Amino acid sequence: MNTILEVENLKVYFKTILGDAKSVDGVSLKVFEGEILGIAGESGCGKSTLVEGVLKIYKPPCYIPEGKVYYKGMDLLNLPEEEFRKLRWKELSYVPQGSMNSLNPVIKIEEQMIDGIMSHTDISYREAKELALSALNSVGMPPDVLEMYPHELSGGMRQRVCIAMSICLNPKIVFADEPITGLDVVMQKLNLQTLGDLRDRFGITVVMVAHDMACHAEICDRICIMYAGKILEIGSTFDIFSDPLHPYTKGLLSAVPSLEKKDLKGIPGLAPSPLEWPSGCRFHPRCSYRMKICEEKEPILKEIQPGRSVACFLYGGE
Amino acid sequence: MNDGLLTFQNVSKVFRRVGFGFLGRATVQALKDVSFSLSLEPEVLALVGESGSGKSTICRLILGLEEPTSGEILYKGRGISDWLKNSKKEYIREVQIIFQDPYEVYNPFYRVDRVLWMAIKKFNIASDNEAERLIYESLEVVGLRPREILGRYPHQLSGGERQRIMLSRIYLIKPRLLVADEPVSMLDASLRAIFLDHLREFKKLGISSLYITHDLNTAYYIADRIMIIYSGRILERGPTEDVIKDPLHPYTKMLITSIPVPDPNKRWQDRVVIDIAKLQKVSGRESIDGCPFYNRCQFAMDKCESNFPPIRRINNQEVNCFLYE
Repeated sequence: MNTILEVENLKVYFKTILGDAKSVDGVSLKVFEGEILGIAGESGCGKSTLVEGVLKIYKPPCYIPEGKVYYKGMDLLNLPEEEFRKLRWKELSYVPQGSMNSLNPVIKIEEQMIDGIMSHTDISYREAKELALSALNSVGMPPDVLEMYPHELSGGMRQRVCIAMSICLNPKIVFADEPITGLDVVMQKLNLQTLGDLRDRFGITVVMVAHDMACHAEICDRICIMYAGKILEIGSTFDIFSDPLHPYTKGLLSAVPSLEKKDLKGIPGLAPSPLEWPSGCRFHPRCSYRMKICEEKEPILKEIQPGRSVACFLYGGE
Repeated sequence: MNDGLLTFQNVSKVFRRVGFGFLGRATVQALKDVSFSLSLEPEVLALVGESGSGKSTICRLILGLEEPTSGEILYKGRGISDWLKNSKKEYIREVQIIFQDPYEVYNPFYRVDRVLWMAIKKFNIASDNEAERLIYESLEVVGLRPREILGRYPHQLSGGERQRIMLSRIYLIKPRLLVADEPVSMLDASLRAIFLDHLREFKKLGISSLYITHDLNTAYYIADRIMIIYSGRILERGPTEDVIKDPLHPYTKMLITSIPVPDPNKRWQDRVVIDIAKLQKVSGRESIDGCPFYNRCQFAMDKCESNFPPIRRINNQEVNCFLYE
C-alpha cells in the first residue's frame, strides 16, 4: 500500500480573545492510496478542522502553528497559494459539510459545475460540459439535472451534485465532510454507496468525516477515532468494531443505536473545551478506567499491532 | 376512540400557497385522513417519517399553531380549539413540547435559570422558597450539576446541556403529554443515549410522549408503539417490536433495510435499485388519491394509483396496503 498523503503533527488553532482554541492539536496520520478512511468523533473534536487544515481552506482567525502535510512528496503547507490552487479540485477535492446548502440557489447546476471546472483548467465550455455530464452520470444522476436550479432537487440529490462536482476533474483524493448528515435513511444509503463507488470504480481515495459510527461501518476500510483534537485510535474497520481498545472507542460504539440491541450506554460527562483541554490524557475526566498516570502524562499514539495504533496507558502508550 | 388522551380523527391539512394567477391555486396536502390515538395509560408513541412527510404538521396541529382543514383533534375528549379558547392555560400546562434545536428556545440575553423560573411562575408550581429546591432537583434528575448550570447564558452551554435543561423544565411542569420533535437529532451519539433514557423515565411519572423522528433506531429504543408516516398518510402502525422485526408495508421494509448497521460484517448486501427519476416525481406533492408510495413501490399495482388502501389488521399491526387484501 502506497502512502498518498501524510500528515505529521498537524496543529490547527483558532485565535480567540481567551487564547488559542486548539481544535486540532498534533495529529499524525497516513492515508493510503485507494482506501476509504473514516474520521470519527463527537462534534467539536476537530474532525472538520483537520480536513480544512490539510486542504488549507481555512480563514483567519484560524491558523496553523506547526505541522507538515505531504502529498506525493510535496510539502503542501509551504506551497505557494497559486500552486496549491492548481492541486485543489484536480488532485485533492472536497465535499463540504452541509453541501446541500452550498449551491447557489439562483444559478443553474450547469453553470455552477462548469464554472468550477473552467476555473481550474483551461478547456473549452463544451469539453467542460462533457466532463460535468460524465461526473453526474457516475453518481447516478440523469443529465437533465444540469438544466435545473438547486431548489428543484431534494437535499440528497443536491448532495450528490456536490459529490459529482468534486469528482469532475478526476481527483486522487476526495475529502467528504459529513456527506450524509441530515438526509433520510434511503438517501443516506444511496449517497454512501456513491462514495463507495468512487473508490471501487474510479480508484479515488476517499477520506470521510462523519460522527455516525454506523456509516463508517458501512464503507470504510480504516477508521481513525478523534477526541479533543487528538487521534486516540486508528485501525481497520473490522478491528475497531470487533475489538475496540480505547475506552472512548468502546463508549462510542456502545452508544450507537441499532435495531439489534436495546441496551444503549452513553458516555457520561461533557466534551471538553478546545480553549483548555484536560491535562494528561484528554479523555481521563470521562474515562471509567482512569488511573493516576492518566491525569499527569499524555499517552502517545503507539502501534501495538501492524496497522493498529492506540493512545492509552492501558496498552502501554508511555 | 374517544376515550384516548389525544385523538386524531380523519385529520387533513392542506396548505395553500399565496400567489398570483395559476400559482395561487397551488396547494400542498400536508396530511390526509390521519387518525390515531394515544391511550390514557402513559406510553411513548413514535411517529417516524422522512423529511416532508407531515410529522411537524402533526406537531403544530397538536399545539394549536395550525387548524386542521378537516377532521377533528380531541384532547381528553374535547376539541383542541375549544381547549385553547376556554382553558388555554390548563392546556399548555398539560401539553408541552421539546423542539429540535434547543438553542432557539432560549432568549440569548437572559440566563438559563429564567426558563425554569418562568415555568414555575407561569404555572404557579411552587412558592419562591420551594422553587429553588425544585429547580435543583429537576436539574439533578436529568444529570446536570446545578452549580455549573445556573447563572450561565445559553451560549455558554453545549447543545446537550441546553437540551437537557429543556428536559428538566418538563420535569418541573410535569405535563400530561410531551411532544418531542426530533429532540436528539442535534446531539452526539454519546449524549443521545442518556437523553433517551431520561425520556423513558418520564413515562413512569405519568407523562405520555409523542416522539417524532426520522430515525428508526432511536424510535425502536424508546417507543412502545410506532407509526410510519409517508407523504401525509400513515402507512403502518403497531407495537414497536412487531413493526421493526416484521414490517408489512413495502415502505417500512425499505426504511428498515436502508438503515446502516454498525457492524462491518453486515454491509448492505444489495446494490441500490432506487430509480432516481422516480424519486423526482415525488417531490412535487399534490393531492393524490392513491397510495402516496405508488411511485416508488416495487409491488405497485394498477389500483394503487387511484385508490388508497383501507386499514387492514394483521395480528397487532395495522397496515394500509393492497398487498394484504
